[in-house]
Amino acid sequence: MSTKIMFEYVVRDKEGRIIKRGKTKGHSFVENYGKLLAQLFAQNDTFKLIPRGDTEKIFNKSDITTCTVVGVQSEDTNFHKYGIIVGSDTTTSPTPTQTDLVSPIEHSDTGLSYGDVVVGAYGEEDTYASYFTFSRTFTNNSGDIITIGEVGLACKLTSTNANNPGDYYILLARDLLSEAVDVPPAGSITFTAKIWNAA
Amino acid sequence: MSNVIASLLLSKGFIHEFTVYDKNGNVVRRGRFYSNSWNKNFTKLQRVLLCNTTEELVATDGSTTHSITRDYLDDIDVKAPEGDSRYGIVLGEGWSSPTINSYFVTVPISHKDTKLYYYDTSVDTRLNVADTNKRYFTIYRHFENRNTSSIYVREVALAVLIPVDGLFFTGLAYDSKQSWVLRGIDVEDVEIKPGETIKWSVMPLIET
Repeated sequence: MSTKIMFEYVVRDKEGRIIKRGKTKGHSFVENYGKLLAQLFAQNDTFKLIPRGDTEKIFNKSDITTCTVVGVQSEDTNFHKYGIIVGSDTTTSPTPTQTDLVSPIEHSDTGLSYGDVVVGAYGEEDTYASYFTFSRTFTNNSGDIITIGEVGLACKLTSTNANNPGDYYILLARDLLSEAVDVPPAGSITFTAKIWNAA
Repeated sequence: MSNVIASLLLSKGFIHEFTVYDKNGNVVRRGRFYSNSWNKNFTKLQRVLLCNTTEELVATDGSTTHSITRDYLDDIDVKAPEGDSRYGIVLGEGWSSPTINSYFVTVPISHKDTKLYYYDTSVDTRLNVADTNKRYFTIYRHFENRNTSSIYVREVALAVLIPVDGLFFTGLAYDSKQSWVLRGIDVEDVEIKPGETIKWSVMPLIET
């Protein structure tokens, strides 16, 4: 089986009771992730990726060591721009060339509040499949229902290339939920991303 | 259906492709099949890449381990030079059922000037279109049979060199004729006749 990513979600009401569960199919990676893996093997002097809402940028070979999906608020004010991210689009099918969510729902302390990305354990399903997980909880601090239709995974990469130095946020995967999910006021939704490989 | 068979039938993780050339450079045989080769080392390497963790990877000997952090991510080397059969794409003449603990070929056909000659392993990072929702990049290597009798390939491994405390060779993928045959492909042993050269390509798939 190829490298796959699947998103599972759990919706809770304001009392913390589970009111819905679901998951995506697991064929969600986009071209940026293929390019990142290719660079891991090729070790070229430079490589190119397309950040979210941006044009193609150049990264130096050593920049791959800055890659992370673990957005944590206490360490980075831009923690919500990478890791598991969500949007409201419900119709646009995933394609390999996508570089951002179609309709991202941005982090807001008074709207949908992004929590920290929490790294889960490495695991083995049997002798033919291994995986690892990480998760993020989004809390609805608005007074209205927030509807989520798409989910994605983005990493942060810091470029040291003289042409475009700086931090960039790169979409690695995107998927549509099989049906849009409502997060009630004061409720939350937790997405867990599972990346796995099979022999 | 057993987990083994289900995994084999459903898997489309790699494309393996080989092309055999005669002494004059003419193509005499071709083969292409899907594989499901990644082992646990690769899963852990992805975890290092994305989650900044420290992971124990297992060497190609199947027992030695070493801790890898993201500081090593720009030192990973699959591009084995000519004459080096310790890593890159490595061919073997044994075979076993691939599992997440398959770190290397079981019976390596090592580089020899007078037997199977290994050229360098190369990487083409361009993403090619497999179909609407699949892309792949290509890792490839040429091998020349300089022996006086045929050489039979029954397994293939993808291994990398990580320069930690000396040289650490670790396998990331393995496949064998068992799974080639189970996929209904008309390939059992891949024969390389004397004087022939084979180009073996490993093409990891990215699926949306």
